[in-house]
Amino acid sequence: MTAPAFELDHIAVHAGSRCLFSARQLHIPAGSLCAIIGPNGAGKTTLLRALAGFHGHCHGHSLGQPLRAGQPRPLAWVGQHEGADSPLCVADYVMLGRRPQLGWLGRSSVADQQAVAQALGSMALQGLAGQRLATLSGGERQRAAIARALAQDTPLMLLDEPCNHLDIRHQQLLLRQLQQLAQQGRTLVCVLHELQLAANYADWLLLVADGQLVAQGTPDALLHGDLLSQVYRWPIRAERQAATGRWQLDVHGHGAVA
Amino acid sequence: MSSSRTLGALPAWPRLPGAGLGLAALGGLALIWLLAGFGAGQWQAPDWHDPIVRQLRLPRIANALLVGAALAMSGAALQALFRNPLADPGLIGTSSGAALGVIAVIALGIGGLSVPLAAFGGGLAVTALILLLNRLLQGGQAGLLIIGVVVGACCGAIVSLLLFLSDDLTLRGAMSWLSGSLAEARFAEHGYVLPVMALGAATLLLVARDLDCLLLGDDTARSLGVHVGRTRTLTAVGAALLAGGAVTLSGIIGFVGMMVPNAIALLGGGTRRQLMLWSAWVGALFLLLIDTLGRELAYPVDLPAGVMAAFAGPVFFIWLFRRLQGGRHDRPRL
Repeated sequence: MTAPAFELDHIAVHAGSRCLFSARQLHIPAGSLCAIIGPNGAGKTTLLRALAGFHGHCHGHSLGQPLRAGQPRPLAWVGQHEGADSPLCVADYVMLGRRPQLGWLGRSSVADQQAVAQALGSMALQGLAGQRLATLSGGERQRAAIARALAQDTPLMLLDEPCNHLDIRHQQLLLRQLQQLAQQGRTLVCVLHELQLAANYADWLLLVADGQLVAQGTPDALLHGDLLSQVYRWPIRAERQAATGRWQLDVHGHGAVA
Repeated sequence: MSSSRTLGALPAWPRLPGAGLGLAALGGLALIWLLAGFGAGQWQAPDWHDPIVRQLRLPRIANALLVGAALAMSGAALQALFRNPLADPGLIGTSSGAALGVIAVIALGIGGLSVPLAAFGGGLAVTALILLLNRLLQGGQAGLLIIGVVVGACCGAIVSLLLFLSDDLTLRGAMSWLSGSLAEARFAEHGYVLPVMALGAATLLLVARDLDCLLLGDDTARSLGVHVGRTRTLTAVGAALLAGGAVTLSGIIGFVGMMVPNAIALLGGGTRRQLMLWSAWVGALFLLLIDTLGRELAYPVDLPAGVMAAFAGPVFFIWLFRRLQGGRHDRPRL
């Protein structure tokens, strides 16, 4: 039994005197694909950045280690639209993931180059290695960003809205790849806007609203219409289809929920 | 899709360091030799024993190479720092501070302080002030840009006031310095400027990889172990050392720091370290070229290099602006 990816007693993010996010007892199992869901302005990215240690305070453990403020956490971060204006080629960009391992002169070893080649391979990017990042399509660039994070070789990967601006095909492909990474033992935490995607791909959900953690658990435990309707203030019906085992969300109710 | 493929098919700047660098070095040396032969409105093969070549033309050539390299390299670093292709050494206060230092010394007749020293001290002092203000206000990258512009404008206002209050003779001396000429410096000055420039260049080359990370966003850089604040400060200091050295040698020459790195990034892209090194080499040759043009175009009038660069600048700026508007695939890469 491996230690959970995150086991927090308390988490809080303040901006001045204003509280942006606070929660007690947050749990994310290791080796899961965890999605942070919730309405706009609920604090999804705020929570993700707090888990990364970029702001706020977390009290608890990550992968069995106590979290300390100001101490770097062994995680890879994939931001939104990263590299859109970078002059780097894909291989150099993925090599940036090796920065923590490189010496201060920045020379890469054979091991670094192997890690980069492996990361490119697992994201099917070998053919694009010499291309400039800025010339890639949105889906290709997102894959490159994940390859960069893979080259970092950390047990945790945090992704801020990875499906943003991707079409349906690329959304599905990307989440399938994220699912595979989780099956290989990594823990992935990502902010997702699309409930349907979160329901069908994630195996752990954090539902946030108004700067609070409303619920956490597996899709089976969490996805029932009442809770979702209440949080999103819109009638939502969630149903797991018996034949395919896939979740179907009906959001075409009439009239808003008070 | 097709436009992305055609642009993307360009190699990411020559990946053959040996052959690429050799060609660039040979081509550059040939250009230097060619340009050294221009004098008195005509060309003849440079005679290195000729005292005019040795005492006037060679120091001026060295000056152009050093100043061009320093301005372009600091521009390449600052464009990454500000995530803005229009960033220039002028933005972090080096030029305006140096101008203020020099005009104060010339106009107020403060004895005992040499003009180059005033330029250097002024440039670094104003850069330090901008960095300090940004730290106090916790402005981050955007704050640095805004404070740089505001403090630069204040320095400009004080310079205007000093010029307004000074007599004609002082005004003429000040103007010739402000318009940026490479004719004045002698090898003796290179002696004390060179170590400072080398320190600046070394600093920038050391933070180059962290600047690559910083271009991906502060959060991603942090997760890669980059110390964001320290990288910003080191970049600004390194760029100020280079630009301060350049201003000391030549007065104020604008646009080179903006133009050259953009052209390099558009042509090839690459890591920040590659961009800086190529910018330095191309910037050196570019300034030598336009200075030689300025020497010969209106012979016997010697047009200052700063004026020549200012003529070339707007044309390039309009071209760059059009490319900036030309959609994602044609955007200049930082």
